[in-house]
Amino acid sequence: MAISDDFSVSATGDIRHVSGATVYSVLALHAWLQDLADDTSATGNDLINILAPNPSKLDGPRDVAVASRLNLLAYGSIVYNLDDVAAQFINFGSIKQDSANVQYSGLKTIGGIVPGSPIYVVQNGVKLTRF
Amino acid sequence: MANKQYRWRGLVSAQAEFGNAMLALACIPGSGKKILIHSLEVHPLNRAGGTGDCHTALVRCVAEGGRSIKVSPRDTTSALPGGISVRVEGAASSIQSPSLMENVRPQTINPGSNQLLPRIGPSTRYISDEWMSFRDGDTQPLVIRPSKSIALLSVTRAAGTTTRGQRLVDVKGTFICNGNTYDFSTFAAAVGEDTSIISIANNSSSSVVTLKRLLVTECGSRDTPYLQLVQLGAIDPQSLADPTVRLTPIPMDTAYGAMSDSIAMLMSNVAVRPASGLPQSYLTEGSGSAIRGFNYLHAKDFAGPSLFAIFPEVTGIRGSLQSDSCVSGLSNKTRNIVSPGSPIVLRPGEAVGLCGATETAASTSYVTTPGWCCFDIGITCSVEPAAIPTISVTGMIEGSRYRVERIGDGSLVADGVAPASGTLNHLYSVFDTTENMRLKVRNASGDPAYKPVELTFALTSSGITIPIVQEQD
Repeated sequence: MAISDDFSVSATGDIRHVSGATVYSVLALHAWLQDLADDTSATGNDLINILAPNPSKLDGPRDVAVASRLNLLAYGSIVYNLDDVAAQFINFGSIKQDSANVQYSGLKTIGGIVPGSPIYVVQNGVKLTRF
Repeated sequence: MANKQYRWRGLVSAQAEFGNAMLALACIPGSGKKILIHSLEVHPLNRAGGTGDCHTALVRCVAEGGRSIKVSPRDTTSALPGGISVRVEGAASSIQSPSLMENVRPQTINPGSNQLLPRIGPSTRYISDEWMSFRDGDTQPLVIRPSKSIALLSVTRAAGTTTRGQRLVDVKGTFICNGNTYDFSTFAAAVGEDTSIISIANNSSSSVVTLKRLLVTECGSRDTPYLQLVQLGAIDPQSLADPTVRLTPIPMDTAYGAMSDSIAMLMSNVAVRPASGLPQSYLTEGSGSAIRGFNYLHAKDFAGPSLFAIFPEVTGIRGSLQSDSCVSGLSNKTRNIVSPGSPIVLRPGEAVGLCGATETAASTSYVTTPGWCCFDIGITCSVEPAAIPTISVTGMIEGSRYRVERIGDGSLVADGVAPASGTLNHLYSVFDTTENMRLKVRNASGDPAYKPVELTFALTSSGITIPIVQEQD
């Protein structure tokens, strides 16, 4: 499956996970958004084309060997953003959005774990989610 | 909407103030627009022969339309109260009957006489000092109260009696308002039944107009002016600021809106200067500095650089039973002196005028009047950008998608895919060329991918060239 099958982008910039279990890299997300942005017209539920403002900007060059730092951009009523669900299917990098008021930093598991073991993300003593 | 076309048709008096242009059209400096004159129709209205009478009536009515003329206070500190206007060549409705006064005059200009001999018709006093007094002190003046108006109409009354309309008349009047005295004097045209030769409208809130004098003098001769359409050097600045000489063209499409004063001005009876400065010779040779009179051709005997010379003096008079003839016909096509051919183009700062020309070489003294006539004029012109600006974008990577759009509404100006040359040249042929725009260039679907380029710019009538550099993402 391609990333375009698993995510959607609304006309107001909402990037949402719609199907699949594949986890994509931050760089893949950026490349997909940029690929859409030079299209002459939007297709399906991916509502980005050349009429739309630029959705994303990398800090630094595209480099598959290192984790990427991505900025999702905002223009008035169009604010490109992930929600927490969508962010669970993005890795290998960090994302800033809403003028850096919202940030998704990469999580990294250290060392090996038993296959099938659950991983919990806890913030301030409260479980955010489970992988 | 790269082109807006306008038309004006109306009456002009060739002898209104001789030396002025009957009609002038100026393209305003700095407008960034050019004017194309597609047609200029000239149709003399004088008529010879026949047994018609000049029949006029002074009535109370609702005065409508026409154009305002200047009203002069006898004391310059006494400005005319707002809402009071004197207008010529308009219309009237709600005409009260009976009329206040009527006047019938037999035709006075003898068609068998020398056509070149000016003859002045009789003076017709409607409300004169003499009439006012009636040699007694009991006659009250005519009072025009707020929301009231009067008009002098050209009328036809009896069967078999034709209105000898389409004549030029000299109108003078005096009225008192708020204790101040005002005068007006103009040439006007009597053009047809129930049209208003002159009207006085009182649309003020409380001022009262007391008419003291109204004199109407038929004037003119059977000869007509020599006309020339010439390029003008300048239009008198005071005339440019005078709303009473301004004519208002009608847009051919209401979506165009009114013709802007910052682009073009159409005027009648304005002082002008020839394109090449003073007339070439305005003193008669061998004379004691006798003035020749102006010659807008900058040469004698019509050999100068006029766009058109028109000699309607013989053919310009319509016979009694003839329909339109001379330079005109029944259609605006046949009376058009510009067509066929390319339109006359006025660039910013240029102007043309329809002027009278004296026959300066006829004798050792200048020719006083080249004729008296009233003309029906029609002009069609269009306004478009003086130059079509080009939006040039260079340096694009082949295959990049570009889009130029207006910032105001995001509407498309140009889009496409960059060719191998990496260059876009787009002719921006719309009416208003000063606009803020946005350029987007994107190429991120292949390998290598490039960072998007987005920038804004202000397009002017000079066009713009935008070199860009696309950086790999």
